[in-house]
Amino acid sequence: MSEAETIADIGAGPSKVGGPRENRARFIEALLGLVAWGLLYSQLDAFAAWFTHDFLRLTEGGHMAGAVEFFVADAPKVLMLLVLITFIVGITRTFLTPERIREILAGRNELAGNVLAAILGVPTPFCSCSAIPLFLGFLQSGIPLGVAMSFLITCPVVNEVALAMLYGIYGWKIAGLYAALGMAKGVLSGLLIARMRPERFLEPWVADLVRPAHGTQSEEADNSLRMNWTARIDSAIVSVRETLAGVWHYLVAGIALGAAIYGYIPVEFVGQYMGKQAWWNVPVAVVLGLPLYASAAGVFPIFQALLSKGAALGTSMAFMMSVIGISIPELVMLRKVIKPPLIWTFVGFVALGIVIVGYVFNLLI
Amino acid sequence: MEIRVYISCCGAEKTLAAVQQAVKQAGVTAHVEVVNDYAEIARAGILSTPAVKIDGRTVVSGRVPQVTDLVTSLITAASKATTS
Repeated sequence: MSEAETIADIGAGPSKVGGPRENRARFIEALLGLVAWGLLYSQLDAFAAWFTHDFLRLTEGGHMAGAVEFFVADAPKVLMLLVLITFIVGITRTFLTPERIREILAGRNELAGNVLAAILGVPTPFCSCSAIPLFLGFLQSGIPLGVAMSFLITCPVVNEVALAMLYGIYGWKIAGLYAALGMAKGVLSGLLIARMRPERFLEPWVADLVRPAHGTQSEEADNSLRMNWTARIDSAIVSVRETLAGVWHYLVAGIALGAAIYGYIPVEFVGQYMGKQAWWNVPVAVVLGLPLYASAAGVFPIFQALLSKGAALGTSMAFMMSVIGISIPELVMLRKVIKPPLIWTFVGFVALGIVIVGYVFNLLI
Repeated sequence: MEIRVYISCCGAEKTLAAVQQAVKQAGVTAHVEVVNDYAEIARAGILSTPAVKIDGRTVVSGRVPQVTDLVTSLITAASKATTS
């Protein structure tokens, strides 16, 4: 978040921002924190094994041992990854403010704009209500509707939290494929939508607003340049705190559901309905997942549990992406600026894209 | 002074409460206007809500502001208003 320094800046001039010495100390503190994080994280598996088998003396391979190990190993892992990711994303966001993203996207030609929009969509946090002002801001500065749609589609589907958790638990190949396919989907959808002359589906007041005469410049576009490391780290810590406060109930529910699936749903059942051989399960997973909404942190434990029970990777991935990708409140908000045909096109592209991603995963891995 | 609070949904109440408390703490007289119309928000150049403008200057956008930060901004804005 970029605004802390605006306040500091008009608050009391440069003295308020903190000198270079304070900056360095804060930076070192953050580095030490990262090292401590790494040490703790590397010991989690060993700790879980010790806790389950030596401390609680549960028999290896038993239902209970499995569920307990899931809890004491994966829950803290997911939580720690979440803290690290939101911190890193928090720092990134002090550089990539919405104003900066708009600046980067404005004036690009079509393809480059779509690709950049898809890339920038990854680390951008996206709550359904922040979407509209950002979307309008993009259009106002002359960013083509197709490019704005690329951003809008990639932003929730390739989620930085899901990405980092996939990387942390399943490795870079799966995480990389997820990101690449998700972005490709955003780019292609945006390009195709642009072919539909989508401008006619803007609500009239939006069309008025984006006519050049109304173009507004936001005066704080260069904020990020003035921010120092103390401010960046502080703002990242605030975003970690806010994210945890916002998602912990999803996380707990997700982990509990995951553990229940892990402990009590038989492998044969999951394998039969969610395995690779059932070709129809990818679209079904998407249809089930689209109307549901949970944050990535909440779906991830469920995803993990399904996978460990023999569900196909593509099917589980499709379910996860469709749960985090679209939410009903977001569509209701979008309806205020664009007309139903474009909304349905948007939903259609998101759904179709996820189905394709699911099949590709099932084919490749 | 003129305070405009731009809100859509997330953090709307918290932001308003923070602004009201900050006005009280800073001891300034201010007219607080709530803007929740998307067209207005877009025209004001706000890219993420909640956002607060004091006398036309954006002091926060994209998050719920801290009361202490708002107080500082309010006092600065007040002193600017009297000197100019």
